[in-house]
Amino acid sequence: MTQYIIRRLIHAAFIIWGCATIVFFLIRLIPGDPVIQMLGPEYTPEAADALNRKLGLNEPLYIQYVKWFGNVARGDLGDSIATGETVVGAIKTGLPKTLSITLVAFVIGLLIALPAGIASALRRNSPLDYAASLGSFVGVSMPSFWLGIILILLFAVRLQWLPAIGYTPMSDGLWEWLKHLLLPGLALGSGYAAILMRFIRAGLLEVMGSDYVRTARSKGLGERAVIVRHALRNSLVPVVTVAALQLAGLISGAVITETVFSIRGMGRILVGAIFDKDYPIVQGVILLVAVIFVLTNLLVDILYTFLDPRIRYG
Amino acid sequence: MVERREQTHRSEPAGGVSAPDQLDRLAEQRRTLQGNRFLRRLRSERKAMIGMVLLVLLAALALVGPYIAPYDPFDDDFEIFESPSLRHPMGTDSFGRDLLSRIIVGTRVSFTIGLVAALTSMVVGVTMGLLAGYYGGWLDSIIMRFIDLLWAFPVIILTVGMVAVFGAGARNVIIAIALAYLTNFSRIVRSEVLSLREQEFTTAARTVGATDMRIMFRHILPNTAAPIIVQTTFAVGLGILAESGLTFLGLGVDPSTPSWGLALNEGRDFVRQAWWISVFPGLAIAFTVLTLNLFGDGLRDALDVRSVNQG
Repeated sequence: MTQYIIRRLIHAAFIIWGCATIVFFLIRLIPGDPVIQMLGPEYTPEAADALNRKLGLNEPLYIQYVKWFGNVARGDLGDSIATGETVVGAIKTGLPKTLSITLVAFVIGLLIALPAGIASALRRNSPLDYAASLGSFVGVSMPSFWLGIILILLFAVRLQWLPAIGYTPMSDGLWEWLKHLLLPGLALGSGYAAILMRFIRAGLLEVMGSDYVRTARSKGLGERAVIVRHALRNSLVPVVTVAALQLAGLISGAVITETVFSIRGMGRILVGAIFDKDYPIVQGVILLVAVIFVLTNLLVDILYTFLDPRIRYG
Repeated sequence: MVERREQTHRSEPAGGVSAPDQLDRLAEQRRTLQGNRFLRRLRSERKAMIGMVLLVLLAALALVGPYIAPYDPFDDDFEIFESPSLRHPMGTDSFGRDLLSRIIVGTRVSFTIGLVAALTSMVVGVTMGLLAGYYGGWLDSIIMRFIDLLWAFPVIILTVGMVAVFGAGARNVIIAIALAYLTNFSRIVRSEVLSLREQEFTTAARTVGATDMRIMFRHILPNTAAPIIVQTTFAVGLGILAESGLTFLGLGVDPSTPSWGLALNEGRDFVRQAWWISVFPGLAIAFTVLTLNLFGDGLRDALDVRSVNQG
């Protein structure tokens, strides 16, 4: 087990190193001279020279690489070209917003998927099952940003129940915070719920047909106890993995949702930086999201070995 | 059936046909039988049939769209923000163009990008998976570490990053999407190949002197067809979603192209005045992707593929 965890840690470290290398080359892959691209109309030979020096692009590639890694390891991702603030500072203002959307989407997703998945497995082939299945198909087929627009149209423009855009930090009150996140959370969480629901249904159906559920029934346990104590608990193990793996996907999905709801999280910052050709920000955000993604997957894999005692990795 | 068996028997002593050729022929015969069984099962899969019919209709629309659209999609001589009416069933947009015509013509844009991206992804991903699984060793290590790396970037981040570097436009969007979904194909094919290369028919082919290329492409690859087909179907849908997402962010196809994602991008700013600009293009995307998902799901059941997941 310890050996397995160590192996996974080494693998994750390798992947993160690879990601950082790709991100390092990102700016150097830009066709033409990246500095000319970044400066745009403000190009003068002097400005180009200054920017080249600031980004370290005037040095030999291997020195740039070593320096870049040294800086990244110290948590220094450089400065934004557009605003001059540090990349880490920009990320610090955006990350809480993105994580808030992700958290609300995650909770909403679970609140939809769990009851729907369990109900459709227990009432297999009933109208309820068909409706849930259709809903899940529609859920994975809808672009989340379109659903976001529809929700704005319905709940903000027509009914005026919730604000259409913007973000309020949690320090201004829990409800104020949540009010701004319910629509983005629902837009992002519904696709997540659709995928999760299918896994919950399939997992529960498989377990319900197993021998030990039959044993539990035949020893006279009530249906409720059979489902809650035996079936559900075991069927949820693989679901936890899917839920966590998809959670990492939610973080990146927030990139588009933020645009719909004009929330300046990581996604908005990233897209804005692309338009401004502010490559240090682009590099920083992409690297951070990749690292979060890798670490989440690593945690899931390790968590899995604790959840399911049958799994032993050599 | 009897006739077929006699034929293969007779060709043996004839000597004119080499042993690897005979094996190829046998493999083809078996696949024809499997194919017939699959078609029977497909016909009884309601989801697949509904999906297929709708898909054929959509594909036809993509082909003839420009000829049957009621107006020129670039004609901006109409009133702006005209709400849906008999004259303009989906209203007009902020430039005074007929939205229905733009959505009909946009079908081709979305389909082309989704399809080309999915096929590119399939060809490259399958080849990588095949080579990695068949040869193993260092080649497998290199290919799979590369796949691991690609996989570390969420699809949206990978595509956005690619477009950030190489610029927007249909070609780069296709490359970005193809690269992002490559990992699915490689992983599925590799795991299939790992078990197929140990099977008797592979050993048989090798014994009679078939080359590696021949074994890979004529014996192993056709046996991985089922999960590849299912995955490709889903990939087209995912490609359409990714394209519309990128275009919505302003990082996709050229702004003059009549694209669904672009219409949504424009519609968002006018959601209070003109709901139709946002609602109809999104419906078109959702309907198309739903059709592909239905078809893919039905195919998966008909082909009895268990390992392929969406996403």
